[in-house]
Amino acid sequence: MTRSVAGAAAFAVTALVLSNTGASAHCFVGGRFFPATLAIDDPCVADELSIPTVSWSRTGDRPAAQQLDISGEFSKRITETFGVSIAPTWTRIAPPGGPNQYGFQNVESTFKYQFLTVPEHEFVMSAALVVEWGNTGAQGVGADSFTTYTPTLYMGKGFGGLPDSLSWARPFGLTAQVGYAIPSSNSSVTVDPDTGDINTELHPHFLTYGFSLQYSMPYLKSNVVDLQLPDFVNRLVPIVEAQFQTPVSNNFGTGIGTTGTINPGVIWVGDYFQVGLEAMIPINHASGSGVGVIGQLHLYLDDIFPHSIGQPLIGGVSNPARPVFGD
Amino acid sequence: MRHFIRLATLFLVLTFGASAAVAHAFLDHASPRVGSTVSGSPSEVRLWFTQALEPRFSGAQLRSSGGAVLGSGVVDSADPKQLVIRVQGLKPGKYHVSWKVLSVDTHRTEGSFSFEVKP
Repeated sequence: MTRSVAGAAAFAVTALVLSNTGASAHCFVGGRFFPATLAIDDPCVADELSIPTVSWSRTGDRPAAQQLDISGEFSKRITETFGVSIAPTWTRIAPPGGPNQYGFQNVESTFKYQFLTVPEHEFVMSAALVVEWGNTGAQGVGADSFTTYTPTLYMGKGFGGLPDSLSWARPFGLTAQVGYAIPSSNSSVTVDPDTGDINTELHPHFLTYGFSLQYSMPYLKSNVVDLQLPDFVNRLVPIVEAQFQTPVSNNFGTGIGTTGTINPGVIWVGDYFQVGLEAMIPINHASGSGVGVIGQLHLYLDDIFPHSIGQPLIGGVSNPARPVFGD
Repeated sequence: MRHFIRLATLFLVLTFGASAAVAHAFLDHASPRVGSTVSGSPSEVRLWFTQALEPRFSGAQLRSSGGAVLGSGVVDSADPKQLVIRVQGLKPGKYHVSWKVLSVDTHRTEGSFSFEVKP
């Protein structure tokens, strides 16, 4: 056993150190680059680190509390098309008059497989299992005592194939995701220590879904028309994200409805990292009170560490080849 | 702004202890410019990239609007950040350039653009 573990470790280290073949890594699909998005996940597997992502908003409570979330996410490719990520979040909730609640949310991990990549159509799809691990966070900030499994489908599509008459629209890209959140238990029972009343709380199943519509200035400059704009502008991706959750079963009498936010913002794309900033506009009062804000620094580990942790752990990637151009 | 970006990049690279980091090769600019119209035939199509390229695994192709291949590009031996396609006597019309490159740190990128030649 010890020997096999040592062998596997040696193999992993060797693969890590020696792998040095042609990689695309973060979300390149043909001539299209999909930046990492802030509210939803991008449709690729990659070696990347989002640290930190900081959001501030007011809750939908009456009176509203201020909520601050500081999170990080580390994503690692195991193979070229399969990756895992882990994402802890620290939350502080400050109701008017206090007292403040703070602590970690449940740890979330994602196991993602990028099963379809069609470069010539700038189209990509992935499937993932997102797991929020119950009892790993503080219940004072709303962390659940149960685990939630969310099978999720992701897609990305660039519009570089539009005809010349619509060339201005070619920099548009669309990403989307849809998932079904299944709690590990259907309900939880609590006893009121004062009255002795027994309360049963249902754990609904949720449909989670969202999209991003983005206009890539880098794509405009290098694939459509070079307007000789300043370099800073040529690296911007104006974006609108939206993310929603709708209870679909086991929610009778809970009073829980659809919640979500629409996030207009912009992402600046550098060679080694990107920076994103978005407003968070709640779609209804249950989703929040007033406009919040979210910002993120996102590092491209495959570019910062191209010969070590920026490579898949196992198998490297497909060998580089002489470029072949279609007929 | 460029100084800030360079400083931020340096800070991040040093902070995270990267070995010699080289990013994906993006098309920085081209001549004729992406999406431009030029008067008369250029003698070459030249593409400048943000990173040095691996000559064996990088190339470009020039096609007419009808799809005929008019030239292939190679990495400029004098500057590995440039791809050049030698052309001669391009008639007025629209032309399409496709490129696929491998940067020296083995990241692949690709893209395409058009330009137009007028008399």
